[in-house]
Formats: sequence, C-alpha cells, structure tokens
Amino acid sequence: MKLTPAFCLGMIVTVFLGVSLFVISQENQKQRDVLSTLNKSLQAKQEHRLTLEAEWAYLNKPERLEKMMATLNKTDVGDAPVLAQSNVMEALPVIALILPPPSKPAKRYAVIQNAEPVKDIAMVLSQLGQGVE
Amino acid sequence: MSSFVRHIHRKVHTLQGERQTALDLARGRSAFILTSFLLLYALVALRVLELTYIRPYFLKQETPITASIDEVKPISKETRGKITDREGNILASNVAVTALYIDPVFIQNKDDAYKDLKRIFPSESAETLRNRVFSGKRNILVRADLTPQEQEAILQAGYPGLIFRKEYMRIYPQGEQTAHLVGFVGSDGKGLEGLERIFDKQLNKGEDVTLAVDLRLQYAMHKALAAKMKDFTAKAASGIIMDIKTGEILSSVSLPDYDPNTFSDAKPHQRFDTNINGVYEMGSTFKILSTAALFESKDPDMTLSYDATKPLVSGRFKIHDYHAEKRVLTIPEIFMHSSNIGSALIGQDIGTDTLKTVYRDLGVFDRINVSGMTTAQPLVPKPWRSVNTLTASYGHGIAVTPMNMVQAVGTIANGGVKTTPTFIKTTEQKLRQTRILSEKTSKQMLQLMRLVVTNGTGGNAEVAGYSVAGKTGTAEKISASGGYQKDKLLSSFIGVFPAYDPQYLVMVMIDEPKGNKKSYGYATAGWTAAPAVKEVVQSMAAILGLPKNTDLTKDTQMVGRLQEIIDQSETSQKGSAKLASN
Repeated sequence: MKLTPAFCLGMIVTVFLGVSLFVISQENQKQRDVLSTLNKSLQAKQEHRLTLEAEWAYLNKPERLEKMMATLNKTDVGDAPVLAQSNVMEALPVIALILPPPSKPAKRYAVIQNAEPVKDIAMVLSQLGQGVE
Repeated sequence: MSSFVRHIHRKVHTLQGERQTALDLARGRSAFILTSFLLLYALVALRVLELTYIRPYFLKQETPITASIDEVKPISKETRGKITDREGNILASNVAVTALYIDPVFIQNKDDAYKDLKRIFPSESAETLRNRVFSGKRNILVRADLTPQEQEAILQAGYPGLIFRKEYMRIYPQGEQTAHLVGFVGSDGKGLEGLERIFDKQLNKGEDVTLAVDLRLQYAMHKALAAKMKDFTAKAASGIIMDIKTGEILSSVSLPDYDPNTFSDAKPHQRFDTNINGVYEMGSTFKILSTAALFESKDPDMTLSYDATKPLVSGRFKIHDYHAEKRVLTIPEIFMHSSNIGSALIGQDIGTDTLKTVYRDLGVFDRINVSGMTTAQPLVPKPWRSVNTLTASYGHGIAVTPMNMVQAVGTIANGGVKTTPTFIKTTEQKLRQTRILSEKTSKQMLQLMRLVVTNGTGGNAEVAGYSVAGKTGTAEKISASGGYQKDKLLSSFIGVFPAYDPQYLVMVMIDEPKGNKKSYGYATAGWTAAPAVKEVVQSMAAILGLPKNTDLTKDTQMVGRLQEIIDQSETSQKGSAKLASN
C-alpha cells in the first residue's frame, strides 16, 4: 500500500474524529450520570418535601393549634379585635401603648397567623387605642 | 515524494491500450471511494460541530435547561396532585412510603421468618401473618407503610424473600374536617368520592387543585355544628359559608362525618353529604323566595297587608301559623313573625305561574352543578295543584338541597344577580352576569331579612357590628307513613352579612334537634340554628379580620321604615279592636 497524500490526510482526519467522538461520548456519559444523580436526589428531595408538607399540615391543624393556644396562652381574647400578622408592624406603635405589664395577660388584641390583612387598619387601631391614656 | 510522483507519471505515459483502460478504471474507483469517505467524514465532522458548538449555542439562547426539565417531569407525574384550601393548606397529598412484600419462594426457613415478622409487627394478627408466609402465591403485600425502625429490623433479619418497594400513599391531614368535600381515593389510586372523583384526571396528571374552601372557616363551622348537635342531641347538622360576590364555597360541612384516611370504616350515613345529596322541605326559609317573587311581580308597597286572622283552608288542607298573631298583617309583619297563612296568601296573590317562574329562575327546581359535583334532584310536586302554590310559599310540599337554597338566597342578596356556587378558588371576576331579580327587590328582601334578626325570630343570630340579616326555618319532617311529625323538626337559618352590602352567606341546618334547658325546651330554628350562625359569624370576623361597623346609620336606615309600618299596623288594629269591642 502506498501512502498518497490524500490517504494520509484521510487517516489524520479519521483519527482526529475518532478521538473527538470518544472524548465526546465520554463527556456525554459523565453528564448523563450527573443528570441521573441529580434527578435521583431531586426525587428524594421532592418526596422529602411531600412528607414535610404533610407533617406541617398535621402540625397546623386548626384543632391542634387551638388546643395549643389553650394550654400555652390561657388568655381569652373574647371579642377583642383580631390582627393579621401582616398588620402587626403597622399596629406596633399602638400595641406598645396598650401592652399590659408582663405579669398581666394581654387581652386587648390577638394575632392570627395567615389571617387576611385587615383592610381598614385605622379603624382597628382606633378600637385598640380606645382607653389609652 | 517527487521521485514517487514522477515514477507514476512516467508509467502512465508509457502504458498503452488495454492496460491503460484497466488503470483508468482502478483510478476512477479509488477516486470514488476516497470521495465517499471524505463526504462521510465531512458529515461526521459537521455533526460533531453541531453537537459540540452549534446546538449548545442555540440551547443557551432559547431554553437553557430544556433537557433537564424533560427529565424531571416524569417524577412529578408519578404522584397524584395535591388538593389544597384557598390558603395553600394541604387537604390531600401523597407521601412516599416503603411497603413490605413477601415472596415465600425465596424463604427457606419459613417458621423462623414467621417468628421474626411476628416480633417486628406485634400488632398484626398471627393468622394473617402465617397465611402470608406459608402462602403458595408470590409477592404478597405484608405492610403498606413501614416505619424506618421496622425497615431496619427487617434488614437485620436478612431474609431474601422480604422485599421493600417504594409506593405512594394518599393522606388526608385534615381528617374528617374536609371529608365530604375532598372525598377519597381507592387502593388503586382512583378518586372514588368528593372532589377526588371529580378532578381524578387532572390530579392523576400530577396537577394540583386549589379549592375555594378556607380551612379556618371550615373548622369554625365544624366546631359550631358539632357543639349544636351535641347540645340539642340532633341527628345530623350541616352548614355552608359562601362568598356572595364570587360564589366561592368557603366552607361546607356535613355531620356526621368520617375520616377519609380510614374510609372503609365509615358507615353509609357518615358518608352522606347533606349539602349536596340531601333534599329537604326547608320550611320558612322559603318565604325569602316567595316574598321576593311578590316584590318582583307586583312591586307592592311594604304596607300591603293580608288577613291572617284565621287558618287558611284549601280543600282538605288547613294552614296554621306557628307564632299566630290572628290579625291582618303587613308584609314586614308576615316575614318577621314568619306567618304561614300570610305567605300562603302571598303565593295565592302572585299566582302559580309567576311563583313557579321565579322559583325556577332562582334554581330551586333543578339539580345544580357545583364544580362538577351535581346536587340531588329537588322534589317538585307533579302535577302542581293550586294548594301546592300555597304550601310552596312557606317551604312545604317542595324539597330541595341546602346548596339549592344557598344559590337562591345568594342570588337575592347579590343585588338580584345570579350567584353560581363553586368549590374551586376563582381568581378573576366573572364577566357574564345574569340578572334574575331587580336590584330593588334585592334591597327590599335584605331589609326584611335584617328585620327578622333585629325584631323577629332570628334575634339569636345577631352579632353586634356585623348586621346579620336572615330567616329562620323550622319544618316538621314527614314520617314514613306520610304525615308531618311535630317532634321531628328540621331547623335552619340562612343569614347574610353585612345586610347593607352582603359579602358572605352562612347557612346552618340542624336535623331533629331536641329542646334543652338553655333553649327553654324549644327546638325551633331561632333557638338552635340561629345561635350557630352567630358563632360562625363571630369566628369569621376574627379569622378574616373583618372590621366591626361602628356607624349604625346604614343599619338603622334599613329597618327604620319597616319599624314605622309595623308600629302603625299594630296601633291601628288595636284601635279598631277597641272600637269593635265597644
């Protein structure tokens, strides 16, 4: 067999392409492995999230929260105005004024997590502020 | 190299004839093969170029993580979607659990395996475990949800025939709170009841469903109903809260109920959703509908009066009043004292056709579809005789579901524009509005309903600062033999608030309440259902942060004029009675 220039060129190109393809396929495999690991960990995390969400739902059952409130905070808010958590910052200056001394239980307002914000905060604040000296 | 080329040239030049032809052929073939290979390599090179540079370049420009998103999707598709309340609290979800299967073929010492399993699961019955271990079948489920400790113990025991499999289990963290609404899935993961059945396809695709229900309100309603059921030793109780403007059902409770996590233990009466599947003669709450029909068809003045002196006789029927006033009554008085005679006369006055048209428009003759859940067929008299017009005016002889009532009264309170109840959270305002009644009729009805709470039978539903308007309804239940039973009542109250611009509707129905000390022995709606509505409205105010209305002008305006009419009617009749006696 004679080594013509075209043949040599062909060989070089072939070797180059072969090596490139090999490297690429290796890289591809590596990336697939990474992807598969990521997917597995993602699935595990998703499952973990589902479990945590379910646990959170159990822990936040209104019935349980009410019982907890009854044990931890024996304050009966009666028909005192109720504030949503998002209203608290707004209401702080007024709350600070009406807060009873730490020895006495607070009876004048209640903060409910996740409650819809009070639309007319001014009115609630005026109710809270009544009797403030 | 040059000598090599020259050598070939020389040879080419010297070859003649046949040999020349053979050489040309060979040259042609090699040129062809070379070209083909070069083309092939070029193709491969182009493809390499495409894969390494071109495609990533375009991918980066459009969607950088397309590939991984495609890979992720099947994971979420495996699990059924979640059902949440309007605030995102989970009502139904899937959790991954490890199930234990046994393949007895791979267990050599079955006695030991049985003993070990009995030790690990002491609560399992010995017989069931033995049957599984010694079974001739393969892959039998031993336990659906293993705790990590149990899993560890089984691994330690080391039997090759004990196999772990990861499975998804449907759980209902809120238990019985939302049982009727959410329903449950069977062991094959198919929705069997409630919204699990209605949205089965969507949930199975992994899509979540957000309900209109507010878990906190659901709890408040559940608590109030359970307390009333206990207080009045009632057979059943149910309640609905609806946002009048959007038709969203914020709470729907039907007692007795069951825990969907263990639905197979539930008895049929526990699984029965009164709000959707029960049809009842509602009694006086129907007067809201018949009085609305009067305003809509005749546009009378509130002073229009009817003679309720004596019981009304129609054929073999005799219509009495429960709280008999035995005099001529104006419209506000008929409504406030809940006069059956007065309402029957109203029905007679407006006529069968008009009454039926208004009832049909308000949707009490037909099943209604609430987000795919169809209510039971109302029982409408067939044929409709003239006496049916009289009885239907005060809610007898026609039986509807509580959901029918909620839709009809919701429409009346919504300025006469149709309210369509829905279990699904709605985000956008509906563009198409169907007007059923005039705004004037709606306003007049709200005035009358407010009067019932301020001066009439619904006083126990009043919550200061929230202007509850409503109507009580106490219906005697029909016995199996056909007659009405005086001691078996169905007490209900439908209220809306605030009366001057209603946002919410609250309905409570108590089945067969028995009077107690607190209610002075009464089991009527004013003593049973109305206080339940009061409790629910109080809770709603606290939970939703609804401000109290301290300005009472609007409220006074509503009933002021009616109060005058009543006072006038009472004084004039006392005067004429005096004259007659003289």
